[in-house]
Amino acid sequence: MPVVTIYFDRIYSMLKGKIDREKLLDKVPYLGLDIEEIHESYFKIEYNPNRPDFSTDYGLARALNAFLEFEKNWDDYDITKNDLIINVDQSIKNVRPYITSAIVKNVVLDDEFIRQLINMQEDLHNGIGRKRRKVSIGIHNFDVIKPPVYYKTVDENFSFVPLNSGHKSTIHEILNETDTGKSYGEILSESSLYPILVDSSNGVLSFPPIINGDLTRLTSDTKNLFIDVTATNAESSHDALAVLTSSLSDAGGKLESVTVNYPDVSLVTPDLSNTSMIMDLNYAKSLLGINLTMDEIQACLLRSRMKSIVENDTLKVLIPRYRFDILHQVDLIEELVIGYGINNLSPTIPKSSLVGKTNAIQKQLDSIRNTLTGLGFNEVKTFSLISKDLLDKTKISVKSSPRIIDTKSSEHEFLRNSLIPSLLSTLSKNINNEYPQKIFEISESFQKLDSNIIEHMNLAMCIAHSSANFTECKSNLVSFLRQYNKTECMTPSKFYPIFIDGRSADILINDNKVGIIGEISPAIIQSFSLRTPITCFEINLDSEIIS
Amino acid sequence: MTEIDSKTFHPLEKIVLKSLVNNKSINLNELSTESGLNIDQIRRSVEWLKEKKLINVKSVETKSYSLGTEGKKVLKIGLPETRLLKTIEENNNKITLRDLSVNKAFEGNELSAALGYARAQKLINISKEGNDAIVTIVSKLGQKLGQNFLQKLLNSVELENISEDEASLLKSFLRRPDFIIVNSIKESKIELSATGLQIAPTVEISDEVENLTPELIVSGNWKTSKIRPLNLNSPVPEIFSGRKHPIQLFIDEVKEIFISLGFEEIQGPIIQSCFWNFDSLFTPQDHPAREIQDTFYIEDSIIDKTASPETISNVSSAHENGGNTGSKGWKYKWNPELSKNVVMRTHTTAITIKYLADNTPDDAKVFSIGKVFRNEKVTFKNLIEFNQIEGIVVGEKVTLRDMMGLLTKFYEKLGLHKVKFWPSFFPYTEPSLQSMVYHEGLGSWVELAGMGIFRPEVTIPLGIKHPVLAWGGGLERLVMLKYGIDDSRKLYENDLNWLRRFSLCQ
Repeated sequence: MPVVTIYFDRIYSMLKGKIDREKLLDKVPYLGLDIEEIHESYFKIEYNPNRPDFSTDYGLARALNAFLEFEKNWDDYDITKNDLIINVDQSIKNVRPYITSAIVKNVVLDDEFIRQLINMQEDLHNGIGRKRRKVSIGIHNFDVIKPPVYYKTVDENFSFVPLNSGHKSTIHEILNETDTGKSYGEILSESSLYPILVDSSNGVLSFPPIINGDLTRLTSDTKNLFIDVTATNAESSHDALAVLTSSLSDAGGKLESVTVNYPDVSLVTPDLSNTSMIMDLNYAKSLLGINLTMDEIQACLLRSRMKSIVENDTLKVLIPRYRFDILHQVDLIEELVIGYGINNLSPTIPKSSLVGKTNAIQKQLDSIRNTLTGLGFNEVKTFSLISKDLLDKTKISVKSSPRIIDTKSSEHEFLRNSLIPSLLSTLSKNINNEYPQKIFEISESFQKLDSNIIEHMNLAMCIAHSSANFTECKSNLVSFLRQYNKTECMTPSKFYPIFIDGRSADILINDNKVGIIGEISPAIIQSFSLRTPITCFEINLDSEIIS
Repeated sequence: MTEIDSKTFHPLEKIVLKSLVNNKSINLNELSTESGLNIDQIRRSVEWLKEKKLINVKSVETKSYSLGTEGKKVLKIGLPETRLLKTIEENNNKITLRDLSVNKAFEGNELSAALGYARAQKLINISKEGNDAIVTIVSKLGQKLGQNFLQKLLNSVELENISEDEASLLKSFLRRPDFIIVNSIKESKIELSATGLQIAPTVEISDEVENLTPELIVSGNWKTSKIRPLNLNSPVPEIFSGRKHPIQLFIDEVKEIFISLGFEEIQGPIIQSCFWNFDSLFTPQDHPAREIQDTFYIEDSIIDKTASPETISNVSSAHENGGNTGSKGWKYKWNPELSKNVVMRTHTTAITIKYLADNTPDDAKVFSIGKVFRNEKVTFKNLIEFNQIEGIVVGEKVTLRDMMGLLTKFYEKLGLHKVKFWPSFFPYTEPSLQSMVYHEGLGSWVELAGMGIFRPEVTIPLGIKHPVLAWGGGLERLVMLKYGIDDSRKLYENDLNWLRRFSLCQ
């Protein structure tokens, strides 16, 4: 989850009322923010990925001013129209089709402002931008741009001076030789044309979503910003721009709009006017279990920084444009209860005539556990995902074991189709503990059949001591099966590489193969650095035991 | 020190103590002969008595000697010095060195060795007569002795059975290559300790019965027998019972709590389609949680039929534009193919949602506990496989406050009495809350279950009419709190030392 650093002096300068430090830290979690660290001059909060408006202290201050009732009314964002036009070329349609833009004037680019801006850009790139695939943002020095701006495509031989590089590079070179090119180039791999944003004198603003041009580089003297948001999804482009410009406005910037001319349509961005949604009050009250008057509901929503208008018996809630996470009225209901204060909500116990019950299969598995512990076995719990090494050691073919795509640890790469390798591995870790060692596990096994994965519930047990042998193992098996009324158990010889030939058998119940039993081959025992004879059986519980 | 009661001595101990009264420092074999016990019984009782500090056991080394290969050869042909004397005798007790050197009785440098040995033993004298060196016999005493000693050494002879004369011969023999084999034997010498000396004479060997036997019972002889009293405080060998794994015991405990709260258990497969693990839960198809970096996808596999065409179409609409759920939806083109990919469930909610879709209950309280999987690096706090607890309540009138109440009750039954709630976010619930409980043992607040009410975008497409309260959390975290473990990996180490000995009452 994303994290933002908040300096006490800055946040206090933005709050429009008085609150002491302790109380402030106490209130913050009730906005849905986790405090990660608290230091003398700053604290860190973790916010939920659907709320990029919390990626700067401007956003936190905005929410706190409403939540703490320091601010009960506020103006809509004031946007002046600028003459700048972005002409969108037809060819961009199949490459990176959408662009929105804004101009922000009179900003002061001090260190802290830049840090906040970068944090927000990062968050938008990674969250709503899906690592720049869906949305990417370029921020430029407006004053060097010669309007109009063109959003068009070029081929890989097109060259310009990328940000902070000092020399011209072709698109091909940028994609293949720079870190950002290598990290994000794959996003553009489906087309031989590449998106580019240039001004009227062919100066490159940006090669989205890879890198900006050096031309529009920000310096500490930059006063006016030009923002481009390119995207593969139109809505997301507007959403990201709304979050960014709202915060820049809160930071003191003066917003100006840009006209984007598509071949077929023209629009003016950013549009920060509120959206609205009707809230069903009865639904809200019944879902939360609280009874509130219309006034109280409106007050709660105001604390969540949402104005509302009463229309007959319903409530029309005005949603700030940057709150694109509001999809459904349940999202408003959450805003309502946050405004109400979760800590003000007292728990209740619902009346119900339903009775509790164990699942029948789980009940049988539990009975099996009791039987095995009664036979003196210790239950172990091992992982379902095992390594190729463990499969090789126990001579189990990797073909029948489902494999994970891109596991982060080779120790956990294959879904096991037998529990025996894990039990042997467990014994090898217990070489210094007292013998005899008798262990069992009940767990899922997985088998690959063409493109299907068959999942079974298996029981496996191992006995290890200096005179462990087939007879003792089978005695345990027979004793176990008898308790489930399976007295017709046969163990005809069948060789498996994990066992000693002649001490290796199938387990048949009513002529159906349900498992295997045998004495582990000495080569395998040695490969686990074990020193005692080991016997084991494994049975599939689904087919005959549990039903 | 506790007083030693000779009555509780094992009969074997008594016999050994008795046998030691008249024998100062004897070895195990001698003790066996003396007591009439076999060597195994002797060994056991010596261990016990040593433990009781009634005897001292000293390790003593004894050496014995026997003939080596050269010695055995010489036994047949005679010692070189004996043969030298014999040759001189046959030559009228006087012979020149020159004659000796051409005598066929000696080969190689045997002659010089024989002369050396004989002179050292003062058997001969060598004097000069003109140009000749003359060898004469000084004493014949030694000859017989040497040969007899050789004969004696054919069997192993201990040092104490070697006479003074023989000892000097032995010294000479030991210098000769491959002549003598020296065996060194360490053995234990046993004698009574100071306490033993006091107690041993008082020990009475009675005809006490060591253990009650079937024969004694059946024959009725028990009536006239006395059963030996035991030292009941003695340590005993450790035995282990078969046990369930602590995680399982905790699962059992949690199940009982759920059942006592009126919940019914459900279960389902680990292998899931993306449809049930993600899509049905309104997780957009480009959501980061769905990426292979976070979720275990299975290679070369597909689940073709995930749900009925109607359900699929409803879910698809919810994603694309909200459908009939009253939502704006995620506004993208939902791809049915992506929903067919096979994953290892990342949460038990995949089971819950399938249950709700299949049964569309008006009223239900269900729970599940099962393994879930996340593609992460294993660390002390992250497991890639762990158990999740999940509770679900469906009802026309259930509320967010009810969920808080049920969770509070649930924690209460686990012995966690202080609970805090605050807002949180989960993709498929709204409103969503997070809970923290105060742990007395740690003296701090611990983050536990997350919870929420299923979004209408989840429930309506599946035909679920009423609100669904859901909460869930990791089980291992609770097990770790219970057993005071701070590394989650320890739970899956299966160290038998722990599994056999952990205490059930924590």
